[in-house]
Parts: sequence; structure tokens; C-alpha cells
Amino acid sequence: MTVPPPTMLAQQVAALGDDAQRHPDPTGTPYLPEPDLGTPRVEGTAEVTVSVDGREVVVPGGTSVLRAAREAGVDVPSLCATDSLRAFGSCRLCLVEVEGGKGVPASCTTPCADGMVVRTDTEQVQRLRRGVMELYLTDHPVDCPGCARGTCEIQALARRTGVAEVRYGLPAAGSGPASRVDGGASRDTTNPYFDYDPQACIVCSRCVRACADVQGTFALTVEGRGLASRIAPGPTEFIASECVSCGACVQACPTEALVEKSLVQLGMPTRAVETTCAYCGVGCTFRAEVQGAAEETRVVRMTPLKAGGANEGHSCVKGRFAYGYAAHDDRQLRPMVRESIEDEWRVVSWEEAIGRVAEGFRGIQERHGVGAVGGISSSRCTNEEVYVVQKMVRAAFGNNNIDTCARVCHSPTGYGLNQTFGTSAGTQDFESVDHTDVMLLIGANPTDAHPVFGSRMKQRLRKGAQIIVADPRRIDLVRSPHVQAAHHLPLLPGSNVAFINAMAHVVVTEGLHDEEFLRDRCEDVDAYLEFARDEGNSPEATAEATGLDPEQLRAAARLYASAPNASIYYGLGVTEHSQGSTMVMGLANLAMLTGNIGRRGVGVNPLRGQNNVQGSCDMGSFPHELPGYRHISRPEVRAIYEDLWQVRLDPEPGLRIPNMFDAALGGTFRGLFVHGEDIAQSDPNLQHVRAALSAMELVVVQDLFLNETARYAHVFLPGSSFLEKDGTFTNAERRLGRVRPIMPSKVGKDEWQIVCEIATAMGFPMSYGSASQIMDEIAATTPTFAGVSFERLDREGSMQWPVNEAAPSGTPTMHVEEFVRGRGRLVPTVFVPTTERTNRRFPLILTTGRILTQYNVGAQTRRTANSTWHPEDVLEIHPSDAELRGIRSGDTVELSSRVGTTALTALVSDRMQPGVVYTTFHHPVTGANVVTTENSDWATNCPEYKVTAVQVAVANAREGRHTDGRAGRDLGVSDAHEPIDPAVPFSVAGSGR
Amino acid sequence: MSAAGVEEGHDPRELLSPEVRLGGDIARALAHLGEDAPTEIATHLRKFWDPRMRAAILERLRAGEIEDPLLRAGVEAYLEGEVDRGEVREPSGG
Repeated sequence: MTVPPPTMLAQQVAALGDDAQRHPDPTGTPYLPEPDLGTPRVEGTAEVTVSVDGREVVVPGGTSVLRAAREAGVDVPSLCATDSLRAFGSCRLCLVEVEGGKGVPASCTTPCADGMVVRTDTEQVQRLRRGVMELYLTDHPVDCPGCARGTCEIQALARRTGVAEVRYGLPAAGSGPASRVDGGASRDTTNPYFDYDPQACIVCSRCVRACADVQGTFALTVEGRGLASRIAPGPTEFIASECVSCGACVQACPTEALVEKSLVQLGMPTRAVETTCAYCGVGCTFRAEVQGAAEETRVVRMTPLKAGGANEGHSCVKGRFAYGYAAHDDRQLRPMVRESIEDEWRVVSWEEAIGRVAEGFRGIQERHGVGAVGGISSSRCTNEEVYVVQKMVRAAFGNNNIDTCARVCHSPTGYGLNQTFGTSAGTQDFESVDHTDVMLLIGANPTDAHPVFGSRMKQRLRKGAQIIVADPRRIDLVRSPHVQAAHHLPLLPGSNVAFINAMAHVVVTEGLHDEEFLRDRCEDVDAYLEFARDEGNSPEATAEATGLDPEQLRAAARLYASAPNASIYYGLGVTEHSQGSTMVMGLANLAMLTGNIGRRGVGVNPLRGQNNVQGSCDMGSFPHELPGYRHISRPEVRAIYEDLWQVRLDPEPGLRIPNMFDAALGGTFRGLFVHGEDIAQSDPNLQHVRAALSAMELVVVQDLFLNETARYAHVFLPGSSFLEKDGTFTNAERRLGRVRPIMPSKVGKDEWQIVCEIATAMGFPMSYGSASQIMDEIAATTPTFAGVSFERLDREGSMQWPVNEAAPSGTPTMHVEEFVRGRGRLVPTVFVPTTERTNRRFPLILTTGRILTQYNVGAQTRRTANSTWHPEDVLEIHPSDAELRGIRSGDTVELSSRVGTTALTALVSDRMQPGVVYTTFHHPVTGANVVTTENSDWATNCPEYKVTAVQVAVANAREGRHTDGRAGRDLGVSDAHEPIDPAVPFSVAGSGR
Repeated sequence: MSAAGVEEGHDPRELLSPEVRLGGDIARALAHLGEDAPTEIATHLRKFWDPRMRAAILERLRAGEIEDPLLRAGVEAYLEGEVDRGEVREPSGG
């Protein structure tokens, strides 16, 4: 009998009964551990047929006997094997007999061969397993809490293997191998999220291998020898080690040697809900493992789903552990209003709050015109929420003053990739990196900002791919354990376009371009080649601007151009410049020039900052575009919505976020709806932002917390966390993943529902029965989403758009046969330097970025134990610049630009290059954006966060640490939970909690 | 706008209106297009700018406040309606 290999999903479904569907109930399924097939899936080999205990199973050649057995439904016990790691063969429990073979090999390290006959349960095998189990039991605590709980596999396996007694004696309660041998290694509880108990450790090395092979950090090791051996995070405790708290070790541990604190505290989960992480643009799929139901639901832990298309079972410290903000006391759960921003908040009913918003916006429009109000959608919200926000603005407000926080991060990606390729999205899936030979990484720091993908990059690099890192800082991918960049090009901030032109110059002048690809697939080729050949673009001519060694740049260009598969990955270090759009086009040019488009292993891949940057852009959040990147001026596109919504749409573009601020100060823009974005912290030149907000008559903030922007708000509408939402997120690889609620909204209404009620109160009836109906409307009106529905996503899993008749299951790789726009367009990218220049008063360049444990403005992560690692933003400064100014690490320094001054702690670091300083923007008290300027990308207005001329000097105190550049006014901060800033200017009358 | 009198370290462009400042950025970015540059500037304004921003820069043009000749040419091209509306149907970007 041939048994088809069941998927992990099928096993789960089988465990639930024949009638179970993947998600029969949006509240999840009864808790079961994810099935573990023992060793990783093998791909790309010819199938073989083996017999396991009389069951025939067909698997790819090279698949382990252990995996084949489990796929056939034969339960072979094991301890050191897990399907996320290569076989190790140390526990000796998975022994089997192979007909015609010698001895009893470990099935995890024995590859299947065609015709192989395997027996897993012979008397000899059973006897040997019992012996092995007895030895494990002699070293395992008899009072192991994990065994009692069911998370530790030892005693369950003892029962499974039939061990009735241990001939060698059991350890005393409270003791294990480590205590017996080395005098008692103590429990390590220093990590805020998990504990390590050496007593429960069986030294199977699953954690060590997970840290090395999956995460790529190599923080764990086996210390000691023989019975004295134990796992250790180096010669220190976990908290002081190089551990990045990704949780891979905890997930891999078969005992409870490594266990989540939350599991110890709360006990086992009772149900699991598959959902999508609400942090970065990787969009990891998680199982929320929870207890209780409805409002009483508690998260026990988040575990990354092995079948997750983006993360394949891996996670980072944010997604796995930093979900506590959703239940933080700072959450505001009831709507509040106030007459002026000087007044105290007053808790009101939903009806009153929505009425106030509707009347307020309508009143402004009556007095100042239809275009005097607008809205900002959020990249942290679901596609469905974003869609209804833009619909509210276009249909109820009657204008196109809708923008999204992608304005300040990846709007140049939208412009640049549209101009060159024809659509605003990355070209690949994440899996593509497994097929690349050379990566060009520029303006991104994936190990901090996109950690799960960063780990995947490291996995590929350890297998022999090479990486070129173009970044002013020496980021971890330049050099870290088992990773060494082929080239680190420490280009000066602001010189990206000069750099990419120099790369193209080398490719063209050395004949490394792909003439066939250019001839068959591209347009405007000759003009571009002439531009690239120009001697002004040579590495030598651009060296003064870039600060790069021409020979090294030439070598990097040759490496990229000569690779069979070369790929480009980039982040905000590309887009957040005054030439951000030009640079995106430059990257697209380079990929086309070398034929690196349209297959696995190549492409141009923007690493999106927030979880739904891609989706918020897709959903029509830009003021000139309807969903699907269709210009508002196109009558045939407007007609789709006008017919459906029964309203006339304005054919002219609306205001972008910076334009809204300018218009507010000019008096023509008076009311703003801000959905899940903290513009008073995240946007540049905060003095300008705050002045604009202060000038408005009505600012409505919808958020989880009273954020910085709420200081300027008249109405506060409480929002729902991702654990309460039903919808979809779209990650950086265009993958639509389901977001499922584990509990009802804590505020009593879904966010899309609140938006609908505002629109309705303004006279434009808007209602849906569910978020699913909103997606149905998106699919019905947007060709690239035509095949998407919740029902399909629930049944088939995540999908990458376009999903339509031409691509019913989605599109992992774009532009395969032709570009979306037909031919790829090569655009000459003349380098126009920024006007932001250093001078005698501001001689250094400040550039900004992110750190692993914090996320964006920190509203979520600062309300978790992640602040253990990063309690404040610091200013990294090169030793020579520090010495010149008498600055030592730990000093408080004053950071000044022409627009403002702030104070923060210095960290002297040779990761920086001389003349460049760096900080993050996660803490409002730091106010990094107090000093960033109003310079922006010429095409999209995306702020130039990455280049600010500054001065740094030792400061005496942090009192009144934010001032503007001219008047020296104290700008203050408000975020009440800030661990190093106790100021709480909010006074909330009638607490909403 | 002259830089005279501007405090050291301050960008004289701070004193420009937002529309003229951004328009200047667009003109600098598209200057390499030569004789096509004014039309491209005009097209960009039509595709991406809110009407009140276009009205504001037209006011600056009429008031003689646009010093950059290329930007001035671009705004004049927009004013003269030389822009092909079909151009706007191109993929629109962010």
C-alpha cells in the first residue's frame, strides 16, 4: 500500500477529525503541538519507495528513514531529532532495522533508498531503546515539572518505549546530571522571557544547533565533557551573552531545560490560533497558543509556524516574545474627547465620540472647503482597515487627502519600481535567497530590522553565497560568526546614487552587461548605456562623493555582475534620501543591466519596515492612487468605485503627509484623522509637525495608546491590538497572511467598524458584516487581488499577489516573461547631491536606523521587557570624532542640527566611520527627529532621515532635552511609560481603564 | 531668495515656500532631461501634486518669486496646458 506523504497541516487536520477544516472556527483549534517529522524535507531528488513496518511510502531520495516513517504514520521515538535541524544522530532512540543491512542504525541519519525495507519495532530495537531510555532517566529529575506538564518528552518517551524500571537508579529529587557532577549549576533566569534549567538538560544539542543552523548567532555551546557536559551561553549568563532571544533554542528543546517563563507561570495552552506577526515586514506566521475564551483569553506563548511561508518556523525576539503590550495597563479602552488640547480628556460613549468626529470634519468642510480635512492610514493596520480608511476619505470626506506612513519610508520604492518595472513591489519571495549566489545589500540591516530574513540570509551565506554590504556602518552582516562580507563599501550618507552609477559604469564599460536581456526585455537601453559609460560616473570620478576605494567598488561590481544569480536587498537607507526614488531606479537599472530579474535567486527586494507597508500601499493609501496603484485621474478606474460606492470621486491627487503639514500652517487644512501612526514622533522636523498639528481644529487619533500625536488630538478613539483583529497583512514579498483574533476587541468595536461609523455619520453609509466582506470588495475591484478571499487564505494558506486568473495560486516571482509594464525601462539616474551639507557649525552627518529589540517608535516594544536590552537610544560615534570632542561612552551628549537639539548617551564605536554618527528613534525622550530636517525625496516627499548635518558636544544635563533650532524652546515629550523619562503630562479625567 | 542674512548653518532654502522648495528639488532632479525637462516637471506636478499646491506655485510664478529658471519653465509648461493627460495613465508610483 502506498501512503501519500501527509503534510504537517494534514496531520493536524487528521488529529482533529475528518470533518475539521484548517480553521473551522476563527477562534482557533484545540491545542496540539505542531507535528515533528524528525528531519528536514528533502527537495529536488528522484522519488524512492520504502517500506516501513509494512507500509509503503514514497519520499524524495535522501529523505531520512525517520521522516519517511513518520510520514507513513509510524511513530519512531527520538530526542535529538527535529525537522527544523539537520540530523545529529546522538540520542540513539530512533534505532531501526533495515533488511539486508548491518546492525541497528539511527533512522534520522539513514537515508532512504528505493526498495528499502525498514522495521521500527522489532524486539531487538525495543530492547535497545529501553536501555537507552534507562540511561536518560538516570540523568533526568524525577520531579521534572515539564514531564508533569507534558512539555518535557522524557517520561512520555519512557512510557512509549516500555521502560518499567531503571536498573541504574534514579537521581534524587532536585538533582540532575549537572548538579551531580559539577556541584550544582543553578537555574539561569536572567533572560526576561525564558529560563534555563541545566538539571533538565539532556545535552541533545538541539538548542545549540538551532542557534547555529537556524538563527546563525552561535551563542550556545556544550560546555564540559561526559556527564559534566551542559549547554551554556558562553562563559556567562543568558542576559549577558550574545543570545538574541529569538527563541529557536526554546522551541527546539525536547525537555524543559529551556522554557518560556509564561508557560511556567500560566501552564499549558488549551487552543491555538494561526495569525501573522504585527512587527516588521517579514510577516512571520505564528501560532498564538492561548488559554481561556472570549475576553478571558490569555496568551501563553507565540510559536512560529513551520508552515509559515515567510518564516518557516523561525522567529525573533519581538514576534515571539514582545506581545505583552497588547495587555499593557497603558492601553486606552474607551473613547475620549476634549475641546482643546490644553483641556483634560473626558471619557465618552462611542456614539458621542463618533458624532464629534463626524460633526467636526463636516463643520470644517463647510467653513473651509471639502479639501480642508484628510486622513492618514497605518502600515500597522490590516489591509481591510486601510481600505476602509481610504474609502472613508475618498467617499465620505469627498477628497483624496489620504496618505499613509509608508510616505516616510518606502514611497520612493513605489515610485522607482513603478517607473522601471511597472508595479510597486519587490520581485521575489524570501525563499529566493536560497538560490542566490551574490547578494548586494544596501541601506538595510536585516539582522536587526528584519531578523528572521537576516537569519535566512546568513544560512545562505554559510552555504557559500557571497554578500556585498554597502552601508556607512559596519553592520553585523559585514562580519559575524561564520559570515564575512566579500566587500564592505562604507559609502558616505547621501552618496547612494553616485555609488550605483559607478557600479553600472563598471558593468557597462567592462562588458559585463547582459545584452540579450536588454535587447529582449528592456527599453531606452542605448541612452542608459551611454549615460552609464560617462566617465563622470566612474568609481574614480565618484570617489570623492562616495568616499569609496574605486578598486574595491570595481571588484564589487564585477562580483555582482558575474554571479549566475545576483540579488539586491535594500531598506530605508536607500529610500530616505532626497534622491530616494532615483536610487530605487538605479537599483532596478543594475538588476536589468545584468539580467538579474525574472527567476529565483535574483531580483530587487525592498525590505519593508512595518508589517503592512506593502499592504497599506496596495490598498490605495496614496493620495494619487486607487487600490492596485491606479492613478486617480483614470476615469475607467474611478468608474469602478463610483459605480460601487455611488459617489463621485475627485479626479485630482490629494495632499501627502508633509503637504498636509504645510497646508495646515498655511490655513487650508484644518482636520486630520490619524489611524495608528505617531506622526509627532516618527516624522522629521518635529517642531514643524507639532506646529502643524497645533494649528488644526480637529485632530482625531486612533491608537492603542495615548501616543505623542495624541498630545495634539481632540478626539481619541481606542484601537485594537493584532491579537484582536480579523484581517490580512501583506509582507515584503507581497504575501497576504491571515490575521486572526484570539479574543474579541477590548474596546468593543473593530477598527474598520469604527471607520465605517464615522463615514456613515458624515452621510456616506458604509457597513460590512465582517472583515471578510471588505476583502471581497477589494478583490472585486482590484485586478491583482481578484482571486483573494479569506476562505481561500484559510483553506490554502498565504498567497503572494497578483492572485488572479493568470496566477490562481499567486506569484512568488514577478516579471518572469515580461515586466508588468511590458518592457523594463532603464532610467538615467543623474546624481544630484543633497542640499544638506556639513559645514563648520555642523561638521558631522547623522544617520538613523533601528535596533533588534525595539520597533519603530517603540510604542509596542517599549511596553515589553525588550527594553531590558535597549532602554534608551544611544548616539554611536567614531573614536576619532569622540576623542576630538572629549566624549567617552556613557557621556550625555548634545546633538544639534540646524532645526533642533536633543540630548542622548554616547557610545564610542568603530562600527562608525569618521564624520558619521548614528542613532535610533525608538524612544520619544531621545527625540531623534527633533534634529532631522524637512528635506525630502524630490519625487515622493519621503523625508531625508538618513542625512542630517549635526554637531555633537558633551552636555551637562538632560533637563529640557528637546529644543528647536532657533528659539531654543523646550519641546517636551509625553510618553508616560518611558522608562527613563517619568514625565506624564496627560491628565485623564475618568480613566478609560 | 538670497542667502544673505541667513544664519550660518541654516539652509537658505528654509525661507522658500514649501511649493517652491519642492519644485526646486524636482527641477534639479529632472534637469538632465534637457529640453524635455519642463514638460516632465509639469507632468510630475499634475500627477502628484494636490491642486492647491499647483495653485500656490502658480501664484509664486505670477509674483516672480521663482528664481530657478528650469522650475519656472516647468510651471509655465503646466500653466500653458502643454501636458499630455495620457501621460498620467502611466504606472503612477508612490
